[in-house]
Amino acid sequence: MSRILLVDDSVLFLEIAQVALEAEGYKVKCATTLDELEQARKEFACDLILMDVQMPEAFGDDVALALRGLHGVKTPIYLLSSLDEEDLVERVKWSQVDGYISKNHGIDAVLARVRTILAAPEGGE
Amino acid sequence: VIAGLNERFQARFVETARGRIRSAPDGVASSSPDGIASAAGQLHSLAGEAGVLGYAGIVEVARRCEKSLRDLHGSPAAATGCARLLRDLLRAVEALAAGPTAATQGRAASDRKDAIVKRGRILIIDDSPINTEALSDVLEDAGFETRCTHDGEAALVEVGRFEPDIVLADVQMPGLPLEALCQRLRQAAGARAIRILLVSGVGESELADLAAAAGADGFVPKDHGLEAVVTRVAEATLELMR
Repeated sequence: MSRILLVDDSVLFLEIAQVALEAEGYKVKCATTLDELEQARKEFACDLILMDVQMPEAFGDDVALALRGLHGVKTPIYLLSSLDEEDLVERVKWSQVDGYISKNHGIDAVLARVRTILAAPEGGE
Repeated sequence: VIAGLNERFQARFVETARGRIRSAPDGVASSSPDGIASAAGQLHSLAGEAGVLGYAGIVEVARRCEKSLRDLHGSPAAATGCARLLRDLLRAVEALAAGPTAATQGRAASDRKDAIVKRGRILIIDDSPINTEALSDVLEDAGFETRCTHDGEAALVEVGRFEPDIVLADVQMPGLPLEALCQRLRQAAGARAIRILLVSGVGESELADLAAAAGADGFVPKDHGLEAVVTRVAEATLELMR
């Protein structure tokens, strides 16, 4: 059973995504702040990190860059955001994440992407 | 999956979205970069929540609203555009909340209210165009005729021209103190009876004290939602007709 860490400041979004992902059989942990993210990383070995971009404490792509550069995190990281897709493409390029998933096309589209990502060798597409 | 999630989360989404939209004018009114960024952040979160539930129309308006907030730069024209988008966003959320059955019931209730209030005239005074647009929109939808002004002096002129039945005045405006504003509004109305209601997001007891001290006829707390404002205005209109 794959394990997914969700990072987003919207409690409602996290709840919706958690319910949907757990219904697919994934084990899910949520973090709404950077402190919670730190704690979750210690307690929850995950196969995929889904990271919101526009958060009050920091941009998700900056956080991802820090996870890769400072903490040596190798887990696949995908930005999960409602930003324009051109913007997300740019953020993916420089932040060393593995890709992005748009929130704008409904939870079914998110689930389909997650299935593809986790089915691919080493979580890459 | 999405159908089940919509059923389970729609009410929470609507309640959260209303809160996020209502908080936006305060962020804009603060005129600080942090306040505007926070308001834009609220709308961004709303877009994400709407997106995952498949409410594409709400996502589109919320994202346009968010962008217009980030591009405000203190421009009054931009603020008015932003106010319209916020109003459209609230409408879209309320349409979702209403659904087809509730929309029919709401229209019937609105028709009855129209018959009772006989399209009373409401003058709205608030220095924030976002607030006046939102109030005006909901009151017009309920059958009232409205006019908006953004300071006390302009309101005094409009009392003569527009001949309102009810004046809704925000309590935190630069210029005339509240007591003087109430006195001069009544003088400007002359022999016509008007009801002056103070509107604010301050606590209810504080607002009651402010209304009593200023010589207003009543008050309407903002934190009970715009529908509560409509109800209070309808009651005040009826009081005038008795």
